[in-house]
Amino acid sequence: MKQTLLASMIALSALAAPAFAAAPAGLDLVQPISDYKIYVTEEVGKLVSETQAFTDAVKAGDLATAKKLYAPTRVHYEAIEPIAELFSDLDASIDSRVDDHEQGVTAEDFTGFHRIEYGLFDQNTTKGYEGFADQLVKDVKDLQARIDGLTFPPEKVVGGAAALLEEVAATKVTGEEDRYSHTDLYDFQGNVDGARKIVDLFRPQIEKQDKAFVAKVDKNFATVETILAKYKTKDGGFETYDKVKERDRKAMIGPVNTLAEDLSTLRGKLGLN
Amino acid sequence: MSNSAPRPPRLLRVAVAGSVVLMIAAGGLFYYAANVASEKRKAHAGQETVVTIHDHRCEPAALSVPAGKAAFRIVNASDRAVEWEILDGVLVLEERENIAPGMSQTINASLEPGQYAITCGLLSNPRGSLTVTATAESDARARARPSLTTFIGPLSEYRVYLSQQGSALVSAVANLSAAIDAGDLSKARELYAPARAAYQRIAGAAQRFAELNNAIDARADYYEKREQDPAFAGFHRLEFGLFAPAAQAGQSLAPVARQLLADVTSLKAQLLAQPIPPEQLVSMISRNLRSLAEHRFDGEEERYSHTDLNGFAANLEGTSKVVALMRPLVEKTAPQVQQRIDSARAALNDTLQGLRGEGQWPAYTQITQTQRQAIADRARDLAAALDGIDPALGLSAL
Amino acid sequence: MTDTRDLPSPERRRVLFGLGAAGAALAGGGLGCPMLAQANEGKVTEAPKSERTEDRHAYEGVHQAGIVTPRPAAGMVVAFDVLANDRADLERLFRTLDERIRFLTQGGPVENLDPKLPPPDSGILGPVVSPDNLTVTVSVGASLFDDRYGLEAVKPRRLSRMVGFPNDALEEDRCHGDLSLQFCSNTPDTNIHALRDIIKALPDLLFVRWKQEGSVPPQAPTKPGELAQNARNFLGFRDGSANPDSTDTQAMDRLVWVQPGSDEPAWAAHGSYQAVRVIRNFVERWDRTPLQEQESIFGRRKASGAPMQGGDEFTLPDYSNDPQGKLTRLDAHIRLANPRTPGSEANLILRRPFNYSNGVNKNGQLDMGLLFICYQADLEQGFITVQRRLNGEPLEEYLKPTGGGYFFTLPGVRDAEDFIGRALLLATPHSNTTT
Repeated sequence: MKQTLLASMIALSALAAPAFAAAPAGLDLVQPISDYKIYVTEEVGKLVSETQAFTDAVKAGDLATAKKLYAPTRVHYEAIEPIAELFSDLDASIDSRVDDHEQGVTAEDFTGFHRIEYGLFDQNTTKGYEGFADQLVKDVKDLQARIDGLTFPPEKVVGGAAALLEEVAATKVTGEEDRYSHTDLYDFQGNVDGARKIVDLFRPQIEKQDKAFVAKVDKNFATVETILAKYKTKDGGFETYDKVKERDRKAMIGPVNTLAEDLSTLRGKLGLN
Repeated sequence: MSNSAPRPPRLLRVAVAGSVVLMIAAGGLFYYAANVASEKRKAHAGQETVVTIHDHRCEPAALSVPAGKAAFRIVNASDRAVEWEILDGVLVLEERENIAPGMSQTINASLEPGQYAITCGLLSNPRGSLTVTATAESDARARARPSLTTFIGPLSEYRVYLSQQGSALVSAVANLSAAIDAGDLSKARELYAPARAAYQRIAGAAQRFAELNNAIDARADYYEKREQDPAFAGFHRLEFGLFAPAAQAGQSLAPVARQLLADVTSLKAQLLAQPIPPEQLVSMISRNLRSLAEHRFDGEEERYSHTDLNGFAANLEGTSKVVALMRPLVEKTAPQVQQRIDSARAALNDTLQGLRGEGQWPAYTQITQTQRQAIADRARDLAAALDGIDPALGLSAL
Repeated sequence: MTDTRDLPSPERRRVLFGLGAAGAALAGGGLGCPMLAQANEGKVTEAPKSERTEDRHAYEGVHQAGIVTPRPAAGMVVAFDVLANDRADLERLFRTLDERIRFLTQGGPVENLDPKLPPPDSGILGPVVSPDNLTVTVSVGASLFDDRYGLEAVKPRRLSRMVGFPNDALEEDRCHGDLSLQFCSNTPDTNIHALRDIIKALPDLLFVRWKQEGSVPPQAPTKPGELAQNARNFLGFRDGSANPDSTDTQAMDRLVWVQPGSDEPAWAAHGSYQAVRVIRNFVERWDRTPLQEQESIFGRRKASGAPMQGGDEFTLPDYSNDPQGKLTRLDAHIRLANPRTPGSEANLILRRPFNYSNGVNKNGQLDMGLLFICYQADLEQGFITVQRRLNGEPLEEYLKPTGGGYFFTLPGVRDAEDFIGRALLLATPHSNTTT
């Protein structure tokens, strides 16, 4: 008797769900958060092994292979950005862009992917970049160890979807992330994949709160993915950013900004700070 | 002229008289009970909130009480038997079932500040609201106790740990099974202890699944025919086949190993599928340590391979993981409990490591009774220290 | 007889009265805001009315104006490279600045020249220049004390070239400078008029390196007894709560002005260190952040400006009952900037910022934020220490410093014989210096 009563109470309360923020988050978030950590652990594992292969090519002087491996390796970093950027020192060392450094390209503390990118794609050389390659491997391994020891804060996981879309809105839509290689579309896809993963993991909880919201988010993701897919190459990669037509760039901005707006309400909907 | 009715038979008279007596007695009893209830009510009279349930609503529909103990007198003024509940979201906090029409019942509840709903009879009736306002005492309690949200982090981490350790267990058993399939029994003997360690790290969690855990970890004396019982399987059947001198050659072990592999694979899936409530996270670990302290310390666990110390060390590793995850919460709320746990854990670790020698765990047959008792005592101390977490954090009340 | 129960609560009444006062100010040209002084009933191209165009600040004083002076609505910082070849030119630069700033801040008719010649004044304020509350504050950068003018020996001890902090993305051409001028007045046009006047007067001695304009939103005037509220920044929070009291001369002597007899060169007495930072705010992202989080990042309530423990904007934050940061986070902006622990009073700075709004960047996001300006007697104990404490704060997610620099604000001009920069030149006598 109590079971069915409880069940009907649950049904009633689902109908009566408030339009604004939900009650404080319950333990039903444990599963998606731990699944997210498992996902991030897998991605950072791939990041480490692919970075090793990428830097091996750099150190061996194999310019062609290094250039080929640059963008696909970065995707694993871009997908887990909400967690990676919790470690701001590593984020700066691995992923800072040239305009974060007053002295520009030659700044001593300009290291990581984009410094090597400058060498490979602007200077067309691997010579002199061996030290940066070693540092990058060291940094991604450090990142892996820190992620292993980190208890993922629930609000950072859920808020990560919005953070990834802010990344896209601020830098990916204009192609200023990979300004030497113009491989921004890889990063764009990485950010979108990471955001989508979070939405998928929390889908049951969000749908309980607001089914229409989930449908709207899905639709905007689909619009962006469809446009990105137009620029895929046969080998599963992407065209360079300069190939993106102006009207496609414009067509993506609206859904991206709307996703940023919508996903910024996710934490509130799930009762997190 | 009508005749008077014939006198009823004697039995009936007695019955009627008896029932009258009963009624009077019942009435007296009722009167007594009502008085007691009334006394109780008078005692709570200052704090008692009366809620009257009508056919289609309750009155008042909005209640407010201060945090702490509260008494509610539910008067059923409708024409059906009703239930009355205090709901926190979808959880039922307090309820009283079957309040008969015309009757009233008193419910005593202990409430924390917050906004709750109360049911008003029929499910189709609109619910009322209950606001529990904070008091100085409830504020003090709230400041002390972590909220449910603070457990999301540790429980997520533990689930990730279970995923990783589950994978490690599956892969260790797969290696063991492969060696047995290949007939390489000496390699299988080497792989036995690492596979047991992988299991023992998460044994506390595994033990929540009774049947599956038995299939994996049951010892021979659970079975009628002991080692010869056809149902005897899992790790210890393999152990028997690999280490016991009286055992036959390993040809019958391959299907056992394969079954064990299937079972630990299911175990991993179950560990991930079944959420662990916060209070069980700690209690399952302390239960595991108690079983060490009360039974397993005497060598009955690995009675053929004598690799008990390997298992105990792995139990301690698994325990340390939970301690580490709970540390931020326990240190903040009950630092003295944390200190007790830390010193008990260190003591057990020292006791075990002291027996280790040159990197290898000695066979348990070499461990004296005094040493075994020391292990048992340290394990018991650690279990007791861990049991201090629940009351300090109020886990069971969450 | 009115029943007080029927009236709105005292707080509400104050707000309503305040709104009414603002409305009155709008309706009949009143005090306060020159822009909003009158509801537009005139024609489309008529200039808005202001009754404050004759507001003026004294140019002469122990200190320069524009530091403890209350902020008017429009501000602008312009940094220059000094093109002077030698000491003589440097002196000419300072004398000309002095002459121009005197005129601009006091007002007066413009010189009339033969119309065949280019007019000496841009004319954007008309034939009679009104001061409109203008102050022009002159400060010098570390690079002026290089080997060009023989000033090395008298460089203020703590003046350095700004080095980026971890969250900075400094653009070289929006940073540093030999000289900075801070223009403040009621109207952007007054500042621009002053800038154009100075540039026209010094074509061979000054090169404009970078400039940033800013604004402060005017508010309805306060009633007697009420404290004036601090203006809001573009994150929607009041900026300047818990600023030291600029009318407290003792505090200013302690915190802002280099004192005679300090370890700074003697000429620097009565001057101050100026730190300028152009800090972009990622406003779209901020506007997508939950209110609760905004408040916890700042450490204040947004609407009232009160600290988390309660009160109003002027209640001082009190962390004594909150050692673990449960009420106000330990990494909240205001708590990091000033933890109010014993000794942290040594790091107080006088903030005098403006909001800036430039353009749009390529991804359609707005380039706006804070033109942060602060003054202190010791740059290292002041701004640099405070910014180091702020490094890594959660607010950084929404900020990106892109420009600015460190300067030393020259002491005041004493009298008609004195000129801006004279004390500095006299500190290192040179054969070419005339006085």
